[in-house]
Amino acid sequence: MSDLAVFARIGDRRVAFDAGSVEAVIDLGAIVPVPLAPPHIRGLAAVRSHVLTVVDVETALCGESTNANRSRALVVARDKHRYALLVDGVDEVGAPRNISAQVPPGLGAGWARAARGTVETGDTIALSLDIESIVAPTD
Amino acid sequence: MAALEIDELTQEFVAETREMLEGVGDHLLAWEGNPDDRATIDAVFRLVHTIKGSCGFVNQPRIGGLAHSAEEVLAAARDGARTPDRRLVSAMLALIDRIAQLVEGLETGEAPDLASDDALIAGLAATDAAPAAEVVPEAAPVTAPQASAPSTIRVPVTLLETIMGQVSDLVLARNDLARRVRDDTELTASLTPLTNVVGELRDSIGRARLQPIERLFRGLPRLVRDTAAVLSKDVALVIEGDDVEIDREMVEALKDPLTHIVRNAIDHGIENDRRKAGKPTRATLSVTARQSGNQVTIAIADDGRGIDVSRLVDKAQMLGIEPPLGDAANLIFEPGFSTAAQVSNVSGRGVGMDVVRSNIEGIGGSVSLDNRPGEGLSVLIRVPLTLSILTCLIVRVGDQRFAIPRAAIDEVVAIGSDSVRYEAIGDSHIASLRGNLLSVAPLAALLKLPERPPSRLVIIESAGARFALPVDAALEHEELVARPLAPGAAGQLFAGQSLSDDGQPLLLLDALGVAAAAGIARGERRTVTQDAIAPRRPSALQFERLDGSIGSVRAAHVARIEELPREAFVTAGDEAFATIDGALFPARIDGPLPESGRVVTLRLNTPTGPVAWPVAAVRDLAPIDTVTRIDGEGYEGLILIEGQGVPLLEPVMPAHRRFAA
Repeated sequence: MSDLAVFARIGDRRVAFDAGSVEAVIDLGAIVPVPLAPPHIRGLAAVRSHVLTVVDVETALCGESTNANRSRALVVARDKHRYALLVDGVDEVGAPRNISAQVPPGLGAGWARAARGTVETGDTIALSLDIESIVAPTD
Repeated sequence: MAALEIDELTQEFVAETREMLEGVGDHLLAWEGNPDDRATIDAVFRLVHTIKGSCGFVNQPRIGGLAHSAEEVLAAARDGARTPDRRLVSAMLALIDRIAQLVEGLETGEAPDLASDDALIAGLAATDAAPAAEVVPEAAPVTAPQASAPSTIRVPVTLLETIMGQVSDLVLARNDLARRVRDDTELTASLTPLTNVVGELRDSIGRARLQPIERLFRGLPRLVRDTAAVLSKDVALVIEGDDVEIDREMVEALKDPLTHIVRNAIDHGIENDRRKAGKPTRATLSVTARQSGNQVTIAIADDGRGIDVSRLVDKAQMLGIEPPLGDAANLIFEPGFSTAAQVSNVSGRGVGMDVVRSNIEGIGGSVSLDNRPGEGLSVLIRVPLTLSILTCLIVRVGDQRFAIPRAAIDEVVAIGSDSVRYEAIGDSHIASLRGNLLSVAPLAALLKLPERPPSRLVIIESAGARFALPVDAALEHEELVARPLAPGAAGQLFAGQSLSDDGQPLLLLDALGVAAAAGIARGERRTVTQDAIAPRRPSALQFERLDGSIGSVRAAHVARIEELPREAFVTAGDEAFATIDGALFPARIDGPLPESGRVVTLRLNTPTGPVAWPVAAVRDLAPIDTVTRIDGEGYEGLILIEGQGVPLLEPVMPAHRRFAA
């Protein structure tokens, strides 16, 4: 975990990712769907001559999405593959305060699986998410 | 700093020595075949001498000692004091192998656990003392590879990869720019030189990765000699086209498959007693490389016994494997298949031709057979020139574009042209091309994309399977840099992803995966379902009946064509039934059923409900132009198919024509 975190929004929920893992924040253009892929894989998108696999974070964690038109994404790399993680918005990159490894109870199975604890920024609390569990959901 | 320099020197030594050793073996064998060839022995001497010299630099006295012993014997041979015989060459080869082991050890940093070199060096001397009269079987003559000393430099492959990637990025950036300035003729014109240079650059980098296929063939003389010796067979190796160039990664990827095929040819192909077969004692194995376009074909041909197809089919039935479409010889590509009655220590160790096939297909190639029973077998390997760039056909299916590797495509035909038929048969489709029936893999349905009337059939031929892919449109060919899909997105149907020239991502279809999903490759049934699309012209399905006569029915009445096991048919009293998917259907049996195996069965929609009609074989779809009425129960009339009158049968269950099942 680097010292900085990227704070993003999914619906009205605040989430945080390790800034060291996030290569860029981008707005995606056209997404080419991958037939038969699981629902959280939205498809493929080309960014600066690289192909990214587009993952809807909410679908990966909850099984369904409240916003089908997301275009803002965090670019992350895992095992030689690059992914674009769709979120509703990115608020800031900053040093998190009060880092806690405690996962709050009652999150729901999907969120609980990816949650690594909570961090605070400003006056809000964000759920710290593990990228690995999002790009490769086990179920 | 000093330590680092020595490391680099050693690395250089390892790489150079390994390359030289590969050449030494072949030269030695050539020398054995032709002892008077001064040039060959000079070449071996030079190589061994160079290895000995380099050992001094990197302080490798043990390797140096071995090289020195070899050099002495070679010097004696050069002066005419020694003639090469089989024992001398064997001893030299053993010594070369030892050097290779030691060099390997240098690279891995682990000293190999080897016996003393004394026995090896003594082996060279012992030949000296051996009586000249000893009968030694003559070795197969081989052609010496040309010794070459081109002015080259070593470049790490990773650097070439990086440059390749950068060039690809450059192509995409240029395409993007070209799109943006499309309306500005002046700017577009000044882009042209850039386009040309980028294209040439891409070609040059591609060529930089090429190397003569000779590197792949280098080990063959030794492999053939050793394998033939173990099996006490006499085999002459003929290599042609070793100057054909191929991507260096291809060389690596092809090594194992080629070794396997060559061993198979010597072990299983070439007869033990060739005189009995009326053939010369010395068998010929030829390995030929040819380049055509951006494909390289490697043919491995022997003049042995070929594949005994009937034995293969018997074995397939025993194993419950369904014969592939086309030539039954292709059964050797099925997993777990080997016709060797006994497992020998040369081939048939469980690594079968199925692995060979999947390895070759994994690099975008294909493998096929030309079987001439009694006369020999040719195995043809076709691979693209490079691993990283695949020539693909871009097709459109349900508003989305997909790429199909050109290597898997036999041809693309327009639906509606004279020799092509594509007809709805009940809830599935059937295609025929120049009178041959083809299975159809309903691509749009498999991909769960909107289904539209297709305009083209892409005829896929891969690994013995041949089938038609209906597509909405065939767009163009593109050279694509293929990359794997992320694990979460990958499925059976896709081989990878790529960026097309317009900067959009493209999915690459995996032809074999599509076939498997459609149940074509090894499925129970050859036909698959697809929602009905109204046929443009009424047509008839022509078939051979169980009693041997020819008949036809209107294609519109045929719901399915399927293969059922013989046991699916039962009789009870005067009635016959077929069990299909756990349900009983009345069966129309108008001839003797085969004793066992599978029975091609038409499932008809008749006024009284579905009927299963076993037939001997399905022939073709033919258009119905005019029907000549004839009298007879169950006949609609006669139609003309290619000038022949063929009965057009009613889709009914005749009341008095039941045979016992």
